[in-house]
Amino acid sequence: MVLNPDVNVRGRGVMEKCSLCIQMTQKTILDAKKDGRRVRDGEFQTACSNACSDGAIVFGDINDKESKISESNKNDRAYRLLESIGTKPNVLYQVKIRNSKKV
Amino acid sequence: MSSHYEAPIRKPLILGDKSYHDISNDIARPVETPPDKDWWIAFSIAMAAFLWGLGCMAYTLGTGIGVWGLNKTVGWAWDITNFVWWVGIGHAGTLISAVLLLFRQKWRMGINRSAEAMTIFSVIQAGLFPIIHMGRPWLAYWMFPIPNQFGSLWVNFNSPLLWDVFAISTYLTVSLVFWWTGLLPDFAMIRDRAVDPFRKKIYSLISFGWSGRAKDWQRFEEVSLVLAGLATPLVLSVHTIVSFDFATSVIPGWHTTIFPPYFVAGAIFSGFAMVQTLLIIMRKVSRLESYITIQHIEMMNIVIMITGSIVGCAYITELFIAWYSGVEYEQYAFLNRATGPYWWAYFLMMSCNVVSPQIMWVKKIRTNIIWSFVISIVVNVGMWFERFVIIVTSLHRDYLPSSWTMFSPTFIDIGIFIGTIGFFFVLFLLYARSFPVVAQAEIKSILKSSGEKYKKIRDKK
Repeated sequence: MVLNPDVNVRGRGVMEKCSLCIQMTQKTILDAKKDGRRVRDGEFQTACSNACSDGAIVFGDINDKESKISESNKNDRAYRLLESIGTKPNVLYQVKIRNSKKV
Repeated sequence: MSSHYEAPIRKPLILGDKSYHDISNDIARPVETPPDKDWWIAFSIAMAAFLWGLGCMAYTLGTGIGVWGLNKTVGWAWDITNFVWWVGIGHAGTLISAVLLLFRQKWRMGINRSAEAMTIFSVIQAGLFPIIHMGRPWLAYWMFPIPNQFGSLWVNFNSPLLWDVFAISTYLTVSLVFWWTGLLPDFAMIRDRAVDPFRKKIYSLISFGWSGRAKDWQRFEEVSLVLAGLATPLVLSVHTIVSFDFATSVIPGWHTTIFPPYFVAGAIFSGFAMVQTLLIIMRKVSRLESYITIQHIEMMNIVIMITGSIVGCAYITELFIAWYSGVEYEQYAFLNRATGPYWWAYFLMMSCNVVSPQIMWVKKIRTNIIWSFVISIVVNVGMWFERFVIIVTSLHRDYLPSSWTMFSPTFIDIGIFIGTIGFFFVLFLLYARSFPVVAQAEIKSILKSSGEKYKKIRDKK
């Protein structure tokens, strides 16, 4: 979608296949490059992570060892869809914390 | 091969009382005489089918892939089924031309020209699909690694879909060169017999100045061997690459190492069946029964029987491994194939591909023209369904039941397929009347050793 001028990015209201807001990410990277600094943790945002006021959606640089998303990744609660196939998708989920006697 | 001796136990490869001149006359006749009513009827039907298919392709191009039956999760259906079917069919021609040359099987000479023509025409059909199944076919050139200014946009060398691009283009190129090289002395024969100046000019051009000197023949033999050496690995590699389109994925029923040999055997299987279909008709229509004999038909049936058995073994192996692996996704993939909503396609595949070639063990059947023709059609239908089953049943129900869906073709899907069949026959019918359909120069080289007349003289002594 970055390279295709024929596909317009909708202003708001319409969800197509999630591109993980690549245009916003690219802008964040370019802004940081212009300022001559590294991208700070929390600077990367997608439309959904911005919209969620409870912080249920976190978007970040998983290669940055200190970012919030890296921590979530290391957490035992983290899982991906069809993890056993090994496709390593970029979307992580966290297991719901349940109040249960079972370990 | 200096002497003309051949053991009496070998059946003659050229029947009847043929001399060198007879061969020239017989092979040149369809080229030099105008086509009869039957040819025109067949050509009209094929042309109509082709034009219909062309219209369907144009509609797809203008409106988009939405006019096909594809939807998530079935992203590939008739398009890729047809692609693999046509590529597979092409493999027989190359095997006959190249592999049988290296194995010094003289029986290939009666059939190699037409088999190789079949290969070229079927690879053309196959090549249509990767282009028309793109969302933006006018950007098809993006598949090639050409340096550019789009950022730069580079092809994904990790993808088997790209390897396909190279494999199929190499295959088409090498097959064309091999075919055309073999055609040079035969075009020269037509040129030398031609009286009409226009015909003479055309055939002079395409025979590349063939002079028939001993040096020409020496080079011809050398080049044939070199090209055969180049083309033989292609028989194995091209369909292996095509099988990688599936085998390198993660889908249950696709992600299996048996695919390369399974696909190659299947390709040869369906290819030989198509050669049978074409040659059984052509030998009757063009009166070439002396050159394409029952012996040739029988040998091809034996190849069909062997490769069909390999394919049957592969089916059983897949089922066994699905059970033995204990992987529930793999097990369900095959359970779904046999008992799910497409069970009828699976049943057709199994009966056409596993059961029908086995009856060729009976000599009476494999030397019978009608049975050979019927089985060749059955095998081609079965192999189409095999590709359909592999693609659609694995895609319509994979890992997540919430994504399960059904697929049905639209009349555009069907129309395009019929169009490629029409296009194939248009090409083949045109070829049959303008190219010498038997490698007459090569056949002449075995007339004195394997011709019936000469064998009779020799064996009587």
